[in-house]
Amino acid sequence: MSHPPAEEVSILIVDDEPGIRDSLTSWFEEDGFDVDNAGDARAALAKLDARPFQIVLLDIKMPGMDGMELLKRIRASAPDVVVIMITAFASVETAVQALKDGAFDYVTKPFDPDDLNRLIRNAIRQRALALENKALKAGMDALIQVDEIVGQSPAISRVLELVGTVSGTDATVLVRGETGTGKELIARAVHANSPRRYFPIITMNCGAVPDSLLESELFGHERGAFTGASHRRKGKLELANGGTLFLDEIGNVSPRMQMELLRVLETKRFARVGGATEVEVDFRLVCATNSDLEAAVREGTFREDLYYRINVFRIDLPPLRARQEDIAPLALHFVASFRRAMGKEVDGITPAGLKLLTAYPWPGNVRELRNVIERAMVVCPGGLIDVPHLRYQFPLAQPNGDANGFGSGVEPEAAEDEGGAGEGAPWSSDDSLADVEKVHIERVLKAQGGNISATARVLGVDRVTLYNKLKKYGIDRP
Amino acid sequence: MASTGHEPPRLLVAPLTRLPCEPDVVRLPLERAFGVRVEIAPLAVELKAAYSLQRNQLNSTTILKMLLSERPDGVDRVLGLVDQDLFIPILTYVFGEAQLRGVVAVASTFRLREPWEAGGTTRAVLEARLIKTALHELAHTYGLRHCMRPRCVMTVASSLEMLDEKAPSFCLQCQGELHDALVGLAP
Ligand SMILES: [Zn+2]
Ligand SMILES: [Zn+2]
Repeated sequence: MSHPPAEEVSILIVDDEPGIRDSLTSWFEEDGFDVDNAGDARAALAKLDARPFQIVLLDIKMPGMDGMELLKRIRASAPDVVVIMITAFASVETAVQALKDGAFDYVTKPFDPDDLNRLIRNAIRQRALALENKALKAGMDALIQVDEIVGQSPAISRVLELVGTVSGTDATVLVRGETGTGKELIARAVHANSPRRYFPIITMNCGAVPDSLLESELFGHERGAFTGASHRRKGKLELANGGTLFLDEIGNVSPRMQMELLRVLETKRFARVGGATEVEVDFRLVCATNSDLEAAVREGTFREDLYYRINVFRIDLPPLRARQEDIAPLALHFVASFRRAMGKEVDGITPAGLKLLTAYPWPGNVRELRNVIERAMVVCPGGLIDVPHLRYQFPLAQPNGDANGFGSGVEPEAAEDEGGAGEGAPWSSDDSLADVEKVHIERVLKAQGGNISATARVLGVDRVTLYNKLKKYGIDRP
Repeated sequence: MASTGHEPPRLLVAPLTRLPCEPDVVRLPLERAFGVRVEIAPLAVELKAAYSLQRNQLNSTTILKMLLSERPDGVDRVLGLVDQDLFIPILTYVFGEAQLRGVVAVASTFRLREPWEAGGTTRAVLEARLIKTALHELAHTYGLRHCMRPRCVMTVASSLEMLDEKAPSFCLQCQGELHDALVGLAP
């Protein structure tokens, strides 16, 4: 699911003012859209004739044929095109007429970046809905895969089937699974396959913040709500408007916040902290937990009514040890993505290395596997990752371990809570990883007598990357 | 022992006005992300030429053009920093602007100064926002476009709240794209 808007959406901007054309064009180019522009109606019609556009932004007031006339021509010849009118303050009445004539919406210039962003995503969503209806009727909707949900095992296939089933609906989803199984990835997959995918998915880790902060983070606050609140601030509920709200570790929410949440879910309305008026929001909710919610309900620490509200469609994520056949494909997938990001010529894993990985019980699940591969990539000079690169990366590994290299009864490092960058987050600020890398670079650099090119070659990185790392770790060349 | 052939590209970070924080805060993040050597020095540009009396803001596209013509010899990229509010003709404001696949970018601290109690002290929040904006705009000069992955610094931030949602780092996909661009540029 890389850059969805760019792949499918082309925009034509029609405005007689070059300044407006240029600034809109570069704004949409940065957004990854396929964008073209025209200075008058004639040029616009010629461009629309030459190739299809999905969205047309159209200035109402233009010399020659004006926007209103052009709108009618476009509606007649290409009814599938979403037309958005651009208007100056003075011509709002004309804009309303444009809506009657089939325009999707209008904006008054200059517009707020947030408004433009929402407007264009609404237009895409509208178009996507229309296309999806057609695709559904034709029975050819393929599931958009989120990176790192990799595997062919029956267990993960079942999960993907459930994702496919629930994505097209607006039902609340509850994802359950052990730490590190990738619950956030499932939330993202549900979002990426829903008509809400052009709006953001906003994550809130309910276990990581104190109650008072959670309230302000979720609901936002009004100016003056507390010392220092000199401006109104939107909370996560509002940011998720149109999109998906992902509440991780829902089992850790306090009784008071459980009540507040229940109210929002029932009414889809809430008030910002320190505010009197209510705000209406439209989002899809996905929750996740690794705790036993049923037991919490029995013990009275989790509200039963909230439990039923969030437990509408349940997806159980199997632990990695229950899908052993996915370990090798996952490991190779991680090698491929780190290879590109690190710019390192590591091509794969030796059979012995894969055997070692497959035999390990992975108490920290997919996230632990990811961390192990990342560390192995750092110490592997290039070619294939082998047993020696892997052995020291296992938190359970002991010098005098048993035959497969694993000790037992040692606390796994990956049993950390799911805070920080978040489960399965595509980046890592792992200090111990940095330590491994720093020591390794220093050692190689010294061995190569401080020669940068030679060191880069041994490390399997290019010079830019190496300079980067030397700076990062404050390593001085000897 | 450094020979000139091994020198990393030079990025000039140019404060064009007084700033509410030390421009030096962007040095390390930019050096790490782009493999450049950051130099911080003012640049003589006539900001008056970019000023719109009607809007009481600076036209960021005009600033980009000025940075382009004032870029010192041997400098590979320029990031201009201003504390005035920026706009492009069709939008009420922008946090910054960059030349896509180009060599110049500009970022403003004007709107980043707004405090956010929940996010810690104002100073730290401002610096984090500036770092994210600088990373984002400069990545555009390397050809990166907006990303849909949650929290990636290349997601579009059309409000301060969305800017605060981002991490000051690239997702693996964007890291890969950036790396390819950097290697293509390496001598
Ligand atoms: Zn951007
Ligand atoms: Zn990204």
